[in-house]
Amino acid sequence: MQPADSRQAPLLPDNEIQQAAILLPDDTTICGDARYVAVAWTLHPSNDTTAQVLGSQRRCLPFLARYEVVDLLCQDRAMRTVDGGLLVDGCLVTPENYLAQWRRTLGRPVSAALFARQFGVYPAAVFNAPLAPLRGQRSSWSSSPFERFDDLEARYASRMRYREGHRAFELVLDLRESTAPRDAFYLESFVFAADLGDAARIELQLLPTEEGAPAHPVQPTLFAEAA
Amino acid sequence: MSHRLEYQWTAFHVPAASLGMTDDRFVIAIEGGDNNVCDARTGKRSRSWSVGMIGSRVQVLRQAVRVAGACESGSLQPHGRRCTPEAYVRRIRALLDSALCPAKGQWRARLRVRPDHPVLGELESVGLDFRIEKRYGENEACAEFATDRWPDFFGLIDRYGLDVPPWRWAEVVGLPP
Repeated sequence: MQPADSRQAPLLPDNEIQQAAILLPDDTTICGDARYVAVAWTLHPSNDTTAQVLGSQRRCLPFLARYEVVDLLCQDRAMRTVDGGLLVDGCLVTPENYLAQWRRTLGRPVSAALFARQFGVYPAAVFNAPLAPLRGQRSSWSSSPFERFDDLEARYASRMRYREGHRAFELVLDLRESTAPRDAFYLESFVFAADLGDAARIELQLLPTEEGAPAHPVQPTLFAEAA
Repeated sequence: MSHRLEYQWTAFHVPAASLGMTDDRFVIAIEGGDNNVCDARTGKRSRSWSVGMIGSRVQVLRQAVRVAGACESGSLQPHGRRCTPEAYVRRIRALLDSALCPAKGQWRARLRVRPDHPVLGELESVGLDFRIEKRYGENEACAEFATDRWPDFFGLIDRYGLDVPPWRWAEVVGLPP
């Protein structure tokens, strides 16, 4: 194994050019506290821009409490600001100031619908799983609007894409819809309870809107100043 | 819910010149313990010193930011009080800025890793030996570094510092409770 040298900053750092926090409805989880989808746009040395949903590398939906957002930032992006491995708008920033900037972003969150209008992409919870282990399964939560998985399947049957001769399904829940975040949470809990391992895949994706990119797409401040 | 309490912090400063390296090195020792673990004899909360961060200024600050994330949820509480990760990082930054070796106590460069860890191959290549010890029922490789081998020691931290946690690189002894 050839380890990375932890002393040196990368010669070509990443550049964070935009942050956003999507506030999900209060009934998204059983806790009833504020949950966010946090997104950071990075301009890479290759000049590609990518949008990263914080926590998307986990196996569960990244519906994060505020403390989880801050903790995830500390585990990666804030840590990379220490040696200039991550810049903000092309400038060096201390981890303290970087976290303060994210606190301001979390302090003025947007709805999923407004996020889509602003950035030309919308958050979607995408589920792929086999059906047989889920059918007949009871919900673990008394607060669930779906007593059994079959109730959820009946609610979304017209939108499920059945695969492998109805043995598996794919469901895309558009989080702009008012009940979609809640239903995504309960569908995820059905899938986890069935302990499907690698047979199931749950992702949060940013998909392009029908309207496409907005008139003023995300641009690095650096370029805006140069224009 | 259980959380970690931290009571005291101190820094050992190793000047770059003494190592023949370009950056100063630091060993940050922290006295801490869990809120719900008590000493069987005294009934008081257990607390002990260990190495919390180690390496160059940049390496120490990166480790501090990573650890500080736990402050946001209250899983880590300096002096038993909630604080922000920003405040925790500032505390470590101030410690680095004023780093003087404490009047009492010392640190030892003693690496402890699992016996198949790749860092052990590098130890052998620079002529350093290690022994296998049984600790908490598990085999562990243990290597000690005399003062004249500290450049090798910190060179290994440069390469494996992200892979091996700080408290496995060194130990502190003799610091006052």
